[in-house]
Amino acid sequence: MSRLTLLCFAFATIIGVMTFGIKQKVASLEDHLQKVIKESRHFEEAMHILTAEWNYLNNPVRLQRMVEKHLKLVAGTADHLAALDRKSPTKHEVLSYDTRAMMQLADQLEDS
Amino acid sequence: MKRPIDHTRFDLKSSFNQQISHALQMAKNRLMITGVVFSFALLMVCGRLVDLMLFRQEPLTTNEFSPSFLNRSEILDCHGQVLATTLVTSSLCVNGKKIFDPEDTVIKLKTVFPHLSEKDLLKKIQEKKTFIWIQRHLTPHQQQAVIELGLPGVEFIRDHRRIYPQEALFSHVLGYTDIDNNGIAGLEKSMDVDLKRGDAPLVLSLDLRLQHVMRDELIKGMDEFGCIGSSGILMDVDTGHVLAMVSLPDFNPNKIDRIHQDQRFNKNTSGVYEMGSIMKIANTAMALESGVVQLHSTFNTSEPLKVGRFNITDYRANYGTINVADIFIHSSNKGAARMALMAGTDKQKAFLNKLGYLSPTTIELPEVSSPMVPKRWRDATAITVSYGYGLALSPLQTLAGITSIIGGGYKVKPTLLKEAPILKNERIVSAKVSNQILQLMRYVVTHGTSKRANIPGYFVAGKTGTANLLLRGTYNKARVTTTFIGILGEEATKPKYALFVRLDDPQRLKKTFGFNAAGWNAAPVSKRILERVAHVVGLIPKNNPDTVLDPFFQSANFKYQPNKCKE
Repeated sequence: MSRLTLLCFAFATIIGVMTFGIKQKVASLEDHLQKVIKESRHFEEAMHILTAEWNYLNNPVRLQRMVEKHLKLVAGTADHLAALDRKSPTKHEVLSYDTRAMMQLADQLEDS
Repeated sequence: MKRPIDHTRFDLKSSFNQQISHALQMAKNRLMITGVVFSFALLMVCGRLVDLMLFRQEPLTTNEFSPSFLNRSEILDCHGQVLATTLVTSSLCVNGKKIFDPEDTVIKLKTVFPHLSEKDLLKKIQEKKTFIWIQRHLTPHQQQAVIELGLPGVEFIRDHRRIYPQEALFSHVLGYTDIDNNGIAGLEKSMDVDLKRGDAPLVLSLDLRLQHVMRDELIKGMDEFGCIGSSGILMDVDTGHVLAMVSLPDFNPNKIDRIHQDQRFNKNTSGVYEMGSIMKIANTAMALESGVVQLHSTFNTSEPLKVGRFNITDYRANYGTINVADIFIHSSNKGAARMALMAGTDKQKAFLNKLGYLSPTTIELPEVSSPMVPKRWRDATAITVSYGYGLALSPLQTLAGITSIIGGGYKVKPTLLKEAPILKNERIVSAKVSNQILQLMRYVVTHGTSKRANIPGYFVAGKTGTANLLLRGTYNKARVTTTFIGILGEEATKPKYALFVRLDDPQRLKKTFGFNAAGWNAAPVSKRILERVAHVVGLIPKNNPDTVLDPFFQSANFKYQPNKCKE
C-alpha cells in the first residue's frame, strides 16, 4: 500500500469520525432546540395570558372606580398645568388645588 | 544430460505474467479512479462542513419561534395597549363510539355543566356519533372537574377564544367575533382577513385614555341631563385620526349573547341625524367660499321668512339687520337661510357634495349608513338645509366635514388605523375662509351660544346645534337632540383636536332654567371632555391663547371686543 493510500484512508477515517460526531451533536442540539421551543411557547402562552389579565386589571374604568373609592383623587383641571417658564402660581391658582398643604402655602404667599 | 528447453512452458509463463501485470495495472487504475472519486466526494463534504461551520452563521429564521398559538392578531391602541387578544382555551367533546355507559356519562357531565340538555346529549351519544361538542372554552375549574370524573370517550380539544380586556370601552369600534373567531361586527369584521393572518398586531389610532375620558364624561352627562343615549368622537385635526369614538348605550363584547339590539347600534357611523345649527358652519363656509357674501355683508333678519306654511323663526328675539359674523355667532336661522338663498341651490349642493355630506363616509368600519339626502333640491330645501333640517348626516361625517373646513381647508378623511396614509390634496375652502370660520367658532364660545364650553387658558372654538326630535313624522318641539362641535388647541393658529358630542333627549332641568338647548347640556359636557383631554395629552394653558386670524375681527364692523370672554 502506498503512502498516499494510507494517507487517504486515514483522512477518510478522520472525516468520517468527525461527520458522525457532528451528526450526533446536531441531533442532540435539535432535541434541545425542540425542548427550548416547547418551553418558550409555554412561557409565551403564560405571558400572553398575564398580559391580557394585566390589561383587564388596568382597565381605566376599573382604575378610576378604585381611585375614587380609595384615594379620593379627582380629575385635574387646566389650573393644575403650567409651562416651566411661567411665573410662580398666584393665590387663586394655588387655592384651586384644594389641599391643606396648598392652603398653607397660599397663606404664606398672602403674608409675604 | 541437459534437459531440453520447454519453449511452450516458457511462453505460457510469460503470457501469464503479462496477464497478471495487465490485471494489476487495471486494478491500480480502477483504484486510482475510485480513490479520486471518493477523495473528491470527501473534499465536497469537507467543503460543505467548513462552509456550514465557518461561513453560515445566520440565526434561525424559521417560523418555529412565531407565536403560532395566536390564530388571530391582537388589536392594540396607538400606545400599544391591548384592546383585543386571543387566549388558548380547552373545549370538550365526546366520541360516542368510545362510551360504554351513555346514561352514566351524561349524568356525570351534567354535574359539571348543569345547563346541558340531558335528553339531546344522550340521544347523540346513543347514535354513536364520533364527534359531539359538549362545551366550548372551558374554565380551568371546569376542565379539572371533567378530568376528575375520569370518563372514557371524553376528549379535550385545544381551542381559541377572543377576549376584550377593556370590556365595553371600545365595543362599537372593535365589534366582536363568533364562537369560531370569525369577525361579525366592527373592525373584527372589516379587518377579518388581515387579523386571521395572525402575523402582526393591528394598531389603531384610538387612544385608550382619551376613549375612557370620552365615555366617562358622556355617561356622567347622560345621568346629569336625563338623556336616553349619547355619542362622541374625538379627531386629530391634522391627520383625521380618530382618537376616541363612543356610542352609548354600549355593550360588553365578551358576553355577546346578552347584547340587546339597541346596544349594537353605533350612532357615530350607523345613525344619521338632522344636525340643527351645526350645519351653519358648512353653510357659512359655502357662502364665504363662493364669494356670495363677506363677513361684513348684512342681512335683515326681522323680515318674515316662510317655507310652505311654516314660519322660520330664530331661537331668541329679532336680531334686526346683522352681518354674517353676527348671524353665525347668534345662530340666526333666518340669516343662514337668506345666505343660502343668495348662494343658490346649485352652489349649496355642490359644496355639500365636495364636503362629503351627500355620500357615505369612508372609514374602516362595516357599519356605515348613507346620509338621507332630499330627492329634489329646491329653494325650500336650501333654506332648511342651511340651518340643519332636511339633510340627515352621521356624526362622523359631520365632524370630518367641519374638520376639513377649520383645519386649513383640505379634505380630511377619517381613519381608525394608526398607519393609514394621510392624503391632503383636495381643497374644500381657502385658508382665508378656514381661518374666518375658526375665528367665528371661537367667538361662539366667548360671546355666543357656547360660553359653557370655554376653558380659560386654552383655545376652544365651537358651535352648538339643537334639533327637534322627529317622532312619527312630526317634529316634537318639546324634545330635542343636542350637539356640540368643539375645537381644542393651545393657540388659535394650531387647532389640534376636533370633538363631536351628541346627547339624545336631554331634559329641561331647574339648573338649566327649564332650557334644553345644546348650550345648556352638550356644551358643558364637551367642556369637561376637552379639559380632561388637554390634561391627558399635555396641552399647556396660556395666558392669552387667542390670535386674530382675519383683519375683519379688528375692524369697526365687528362689535365684539377681541379675545375677551363675555361671561
